[in-house]
Amino acid sequence: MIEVLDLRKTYGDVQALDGVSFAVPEGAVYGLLGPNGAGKSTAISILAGLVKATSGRASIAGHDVATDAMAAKQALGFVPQDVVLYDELNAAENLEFFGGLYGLRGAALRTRVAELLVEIDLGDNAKRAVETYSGGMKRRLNLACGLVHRPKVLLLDEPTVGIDPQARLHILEMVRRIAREGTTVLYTTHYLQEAEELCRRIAIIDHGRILAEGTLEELRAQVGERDLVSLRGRFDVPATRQLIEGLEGTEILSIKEDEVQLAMRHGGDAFGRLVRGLGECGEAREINIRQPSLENLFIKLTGRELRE
Amino acid sequence: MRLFLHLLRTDARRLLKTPSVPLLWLAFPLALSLIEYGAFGQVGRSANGLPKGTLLLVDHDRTLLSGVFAQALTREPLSEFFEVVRLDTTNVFEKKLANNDASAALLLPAGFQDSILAGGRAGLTYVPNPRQQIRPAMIDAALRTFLEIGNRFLHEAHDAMALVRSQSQVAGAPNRAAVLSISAAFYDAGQHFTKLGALRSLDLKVQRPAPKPGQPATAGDAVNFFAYFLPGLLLFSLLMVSQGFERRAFALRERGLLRRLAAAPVGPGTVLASQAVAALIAALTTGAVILVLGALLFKIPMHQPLVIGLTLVGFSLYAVGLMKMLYGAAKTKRSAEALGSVVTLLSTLIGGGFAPIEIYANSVRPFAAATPVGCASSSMVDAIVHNHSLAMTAPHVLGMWAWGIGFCVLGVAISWRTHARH
Repeated sequence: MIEVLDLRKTYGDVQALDGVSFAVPEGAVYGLLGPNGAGKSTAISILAGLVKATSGRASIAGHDVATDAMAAKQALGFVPQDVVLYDELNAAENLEFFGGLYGLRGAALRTRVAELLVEIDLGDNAKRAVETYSGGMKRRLNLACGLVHRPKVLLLDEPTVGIDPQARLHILEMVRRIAREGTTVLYTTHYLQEAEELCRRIAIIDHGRILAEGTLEELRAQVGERDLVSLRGRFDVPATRQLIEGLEGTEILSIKEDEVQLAMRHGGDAFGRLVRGLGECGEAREINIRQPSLENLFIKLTGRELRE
Repeated sequence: MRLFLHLLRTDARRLLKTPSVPLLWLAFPLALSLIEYGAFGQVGRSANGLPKGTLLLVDHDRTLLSGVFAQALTREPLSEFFEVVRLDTTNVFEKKLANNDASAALLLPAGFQDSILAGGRAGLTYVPNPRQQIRPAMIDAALRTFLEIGNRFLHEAHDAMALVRSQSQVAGAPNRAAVLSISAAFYDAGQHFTKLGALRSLDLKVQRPAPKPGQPATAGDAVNFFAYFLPGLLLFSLLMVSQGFERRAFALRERGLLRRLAAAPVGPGTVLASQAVAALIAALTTGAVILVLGALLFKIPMHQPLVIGLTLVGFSLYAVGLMKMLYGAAKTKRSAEALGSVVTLLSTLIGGGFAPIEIYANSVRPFAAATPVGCASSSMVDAIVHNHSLAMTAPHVLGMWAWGIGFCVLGVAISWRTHARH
């Protein structure tokens, strides 16, 4: 339903996308996971027809976004990261406006709007101006506006940024329901937990490149049965590197003067040797050990934590 | 077309949801209009077209003769120059003058009748309103002429007055012979005075040329000074309305609406056209409302409606294009606001929006008249005030349209680029 092939985009000297390829089958929720500036929004923008790719190909429901843009847009629902609504209008009027953009009108539009208002739990507030809504209500309506015309593909650009946990749960549940009904969803986020909960397949993207792609299980397997050990303090980098490289089943993910990240196999005496050896390589003020997770993989792949 | 109408309808719906916005757009120029109109005073107009003053008459004498005198002031031709308001209390006139409720006051002293009958002098006191210039001077001149005639009559009626005076000192009712002699004396005085009135044979007939292009606009027969200012206020309003629309569009652009619309199957041309047409309709409606209010409230005759209409449309195109250009080019809302406001004020000021170009210095006038606001204000003043036909105002109207089309194209081009970027 979504096909992206060797997509590249440059802004001057900046390579925003560098040969990105992925495919999302019908009815799947596909997660595009990456920190800010990784290239997620550029990819979404190209798919939504907002930006032209420098090279490569992208299609929505079989329509090339560059050469058959209007058909691709007709099949697409786009929910931007920011809440983009007419504040003076009420929820029903906003939904009618966005439905009208996709050719819906008359009784069909009214029925669909009424249906969505119930779905997003705004039925009782449908006649109130949007400017009086809470942040969560606006987010739900923002999402619903992308769904009025029952799109085949839904692009969700970080739809849960800055909302309370309850509203977040509501939106995630909506996304699951949409997918169950057969809509293909491309979901960008930098919340690992959301990606783990929602997405059938996930691509980890950074610096415009997909670093890893697969199901959650496939990605976890890439980390292996290893813990993520994070050390903070002050370290002599060459000596610390030498110490860690001498430890069996241990891999350096990143190493800096103030922070060291490494993957370490369970069992054995590697951890004890590490702690003892650190006294000669510097000063460790904080040690964190985490179980294998998507975040471990992300750190392994990018050398930094997702929140960066 | 369906999408264009859909966008337009949504814009109208948004505007109706916030009626305070268009009302504010109208309130500002209307407030300015009222202030400027108030500056000219609520001018009553006489049949000869001159503004009428109000004369407060304070009669301290309250006798038959003072009453006759007051009555004479209310008759023609004096009533052509002022209307008389008689005051019962003597202290009120100062307050009324201070409140600018009258142009002048005339005080008739106690003993007025006695002085006249005694053949002595009766001193009247004239108090002009210092806050007015022309009307007190007009009343003063009219009163002096009236008193000149009155003094002449009193001079001619000297014998009759002497008889009245002597008769008034005799106790009891006058006898038949006394009444006859007094009547005869007044008759003689009247005859002498009528001879003076032979001047009436020298009748000055005023012949005003029929209205034709090139003549000043009038309300009744009077020049309506406010007609000079209405076009400027109208043009200023159109710029403000266009800026208001673009401000709203800019706010939506900042919030990502353009981006969201661009992801829908709607061409950028449709979005831009709907925005521009909405602003154009709002500007034209505002212009029409101001013209109607000008005609109804301020009695400004709308000569040459074709010229006014063409100028209104041409200037609306310019205003919409200008604001599209400024807001399209601006990177931040603050810079757009500042630029839009400065350009609006300066161009209105230079182009004769706040004062007619006709009063500008000769060296500045051609430049001012060539600016967009200058073209529009010139053609509107020419049409409304001077009743110039389309043929006579063609250079200004064409200039206005050239500016309008030019800026519209420029504004749409820059907005298109901005739209594409978002």
